[in-house]
Amino acid sequence: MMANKRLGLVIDLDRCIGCWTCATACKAENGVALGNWWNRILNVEGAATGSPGMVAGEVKMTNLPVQCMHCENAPCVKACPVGATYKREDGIVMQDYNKCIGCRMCMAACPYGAKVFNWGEPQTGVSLAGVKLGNPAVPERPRHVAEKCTFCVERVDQGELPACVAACPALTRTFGDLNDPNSEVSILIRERNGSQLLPEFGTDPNIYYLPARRHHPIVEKTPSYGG
Amino acid sequence: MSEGHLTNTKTASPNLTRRSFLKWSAALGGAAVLTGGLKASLVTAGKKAMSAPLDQVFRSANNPECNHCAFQVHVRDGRIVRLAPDPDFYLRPCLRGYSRLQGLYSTARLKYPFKRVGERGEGKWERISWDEALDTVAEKLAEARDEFGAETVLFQRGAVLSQMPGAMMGRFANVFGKGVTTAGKGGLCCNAMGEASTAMIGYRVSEIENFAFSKLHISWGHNPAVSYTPHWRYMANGIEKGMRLVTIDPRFSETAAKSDVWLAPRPGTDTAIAMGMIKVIIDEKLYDETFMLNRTNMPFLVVESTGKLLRESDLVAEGDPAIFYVWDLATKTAVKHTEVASPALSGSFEVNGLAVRTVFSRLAERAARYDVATVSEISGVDGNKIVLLAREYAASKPAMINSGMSGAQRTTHGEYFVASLITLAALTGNYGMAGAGVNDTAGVSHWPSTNISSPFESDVKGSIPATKLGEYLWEQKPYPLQVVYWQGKGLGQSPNSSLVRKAMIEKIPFIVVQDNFMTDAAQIADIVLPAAHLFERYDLMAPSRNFHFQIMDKAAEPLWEARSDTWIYTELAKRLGFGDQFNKTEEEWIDEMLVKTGLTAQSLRESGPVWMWSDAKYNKFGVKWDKPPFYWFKDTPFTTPSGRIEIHSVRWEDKEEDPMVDYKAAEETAETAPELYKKYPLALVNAKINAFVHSTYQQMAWIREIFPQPWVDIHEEDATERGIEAGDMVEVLNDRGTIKLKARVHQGIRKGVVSVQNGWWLDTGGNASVLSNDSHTKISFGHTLNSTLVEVRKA
Repeated sequence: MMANKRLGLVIDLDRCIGCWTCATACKAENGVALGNWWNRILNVEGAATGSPGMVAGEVKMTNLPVQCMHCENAPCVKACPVGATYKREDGIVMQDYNKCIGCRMCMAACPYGAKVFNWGEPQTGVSLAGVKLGNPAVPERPRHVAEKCTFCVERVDQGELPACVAACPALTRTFGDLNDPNSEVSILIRERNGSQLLPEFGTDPNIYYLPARRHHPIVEKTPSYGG
Repeated sequence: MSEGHLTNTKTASPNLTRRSFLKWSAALGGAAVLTGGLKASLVTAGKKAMSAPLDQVFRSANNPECNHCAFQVHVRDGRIVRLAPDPDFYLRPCLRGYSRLQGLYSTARLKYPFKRVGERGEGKWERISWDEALDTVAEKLAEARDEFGAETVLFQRGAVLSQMPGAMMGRFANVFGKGVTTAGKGGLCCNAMGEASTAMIGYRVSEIENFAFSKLHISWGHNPAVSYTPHWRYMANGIEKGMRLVTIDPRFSETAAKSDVWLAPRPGTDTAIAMGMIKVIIDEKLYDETFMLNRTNMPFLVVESTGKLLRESDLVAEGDPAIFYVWDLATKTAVKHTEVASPALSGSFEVNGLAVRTVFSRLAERAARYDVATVSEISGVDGNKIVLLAREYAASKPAMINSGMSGAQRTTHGEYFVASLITLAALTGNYGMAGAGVNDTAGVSHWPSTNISSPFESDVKGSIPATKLGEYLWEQKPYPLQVVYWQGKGLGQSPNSSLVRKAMIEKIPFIVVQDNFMTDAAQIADIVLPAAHLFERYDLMAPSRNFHFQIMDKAAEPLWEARSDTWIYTELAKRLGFGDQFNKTEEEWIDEMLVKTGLTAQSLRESGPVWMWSDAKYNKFGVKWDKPPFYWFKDTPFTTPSGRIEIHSVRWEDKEEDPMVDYKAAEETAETAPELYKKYPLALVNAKINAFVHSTYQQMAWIREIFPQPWVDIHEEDATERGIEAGDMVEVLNDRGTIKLKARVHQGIRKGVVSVQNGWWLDTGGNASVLSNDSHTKISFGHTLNSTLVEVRKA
């Protein structure tokens, strides 16, 4: 019998320019409130978006998109005292907003800061009452619940790609079944040395990152200079 | 976590520290393996359209001065609720496009017409009816025209690059004055680029679709990662195939972060770097002689005594001034450029007693001054690196210099910077291939449009240089203006913007502003008119910053009392007695503009975006290509007087300008303005960020969560000298004004240079144009904002 699917995402940091389109498309698709991001771009070396930083005497600015890692060994699922956070058979970690009691244990447990909380009534920055933006199938969240990336489960269940994957202008993101050795995601991870974020936490995330390519400075011995 | 990482700090996990990221990042760094060929299937996967059976789907496109990505606009119950990439289009929109969805319903949107009730800029408004607003505007316009002349009404509009808002304002202004007008001169973007391209190759070209074909890409004063975000996929494809990327920019930009090499020159010295490269290519004979002899005017002869090209008219009475001469090595005589068999590339000769020398020899003489030491001293960049770059550039064909509307041409002698790039490309034969040449950002003007903007012949009574708007309004040059009609444009985009604001407030009797938001311009208006959002009206995106015709359908009725620009001008025209000139629907106007192409609003609705090269009727060159890539200068000519790349430009010679590239120091530098430099020793450059296109998107809540406020980038050493620490509020100032913003302190900017982002409105207090030099380039009246000196101090 075929093993279960393990839906996962591969993000190519060589292609990523940190433009926040994935994050904004996610916000639009899922009606995420102002102040909350299910998906955001960290700047590894710099102090803020668009700011360079130093590593070993070299100026750098590496973008790192971070969202729910849909961990195989998800600490948020273990931490939830009421079973509101759970894992589907295909690997997607879900949040049942009806069960959530707003205790935020899941948020404390998540090493990726991937969960956000609706402290008040979610405000979407839309001035017309009754206009619900985005995917109509995405449930609205009340105040005092935790929420996070769902891999756009409503789209995935219709055979579509998560919004961030469909939106990325630089084609940075690949979505697929990590359990299928012939899937694009599996091939990319194998061939490009994909790795997980913060493996030391033992969470076994279903998001893999492909490394940014190393840069080749101008030096006399660089063969392409013809010298 | 600091600002911008996580806007909701309350929900940020303390576990995810920068330290752990750094550790992790270092571990990844050593494991780079490249594979190619996997992205094609990704593109296919991305082509799947969203299934949302309840939604009606309309075609649209984003229309500021960006890449004009096509959208699917989803409408549910009469409301626009969702945007998605158009699967029929080759690009995917960026965050700016998606933010339009929130902007449409933004609490900050202008909902009704307003009239000012307090002092100008005081922010006191009274809501009025459209009838009152239109009656007032029509009355003021008629008064000004009848009492002072139509030229005392100044029409200004921002860079909305879809056709309708500009065409309708243009038509209205033209009919209103029966052609009488005050014209603008030059502009705030790419005039130097346009001028040098026209002078040397005939017209502007863009290689934006062809990034992936280059072996070497030099991003020069340009940041495609933020200004061509949707086209980055082709940059990334190129990089995957082994394309090397070099960024020349005083800032460590988002593009520099992706580059193999970052060179950080002093602002305004880029031409010296290029001259150094030209010298290396000539000295080491790395040039493409066949190309130079056949497709450039480098073998043409120049008369030593005049510095002008030898023309037939110099030798024979009634001779053709468009016939030039070259030295024929076989006959050892000067021969018409159209008839020569074995032309000499270099050398000095005598023709009819006139001492002459080839253009190439004269170029070599100029370049000879730019040895390694000189170039290093001028630019502050290690000259040895420039030598290596020149060698690599000459050895890597196709190599592209991607300058876009480069910050490096927004300087005193901007035209010659662009000339230096074209000269480099001409020397190395980098034309007629995909992924070569000098990339501009233009598809504009290459499609056969029907002009609907000027039924009356233009009668220009006076003109105002775009960079000098403040000075001209303040000094009431060329004459006092009575009305300013201001459409969709940030006040803070004009250099010396405080003076523009002051002059508008104090010298202009009546100001009307038409926009989506209460912009910094609307804030000082007398009447504010709420314009419809781009998804609430019909519009045409014709080849402008990409090469496609796209329909922008009206997906929903305008919200509140917003109205389309067409409706507003039509209503004003009726009141002013020329309603018969505004007797068409938006779709009919679109069809009229397109009539020579055979396309219509309806055909574009059915077909989706149409590539300009896919039919000979769609472009002025009358060429047809089956599929991308399009190769410029394979089927299209150099439309210069000689039909060649003119390294010695006939156009500039005729204008009595220096006809050939050379480096000249910019206006505000230590060398050219030593007294000013003592007071203001830092060079200011503007940066583009992926939050904005010019001043658009300032009000988009989603975008402002990512970029909440303006900042100044300053080098660590400059900051330390001034007692400034990261995160401090600082003042950036010069004699034009002072702005106040946060300091970002790092080493990702050249010492001696500071950078502020372009696009922040005046009311943010961090508008860079307050400080910007309002002089202009000599030939084309382009702006020079990157020749600006400032000082920074702790606030």
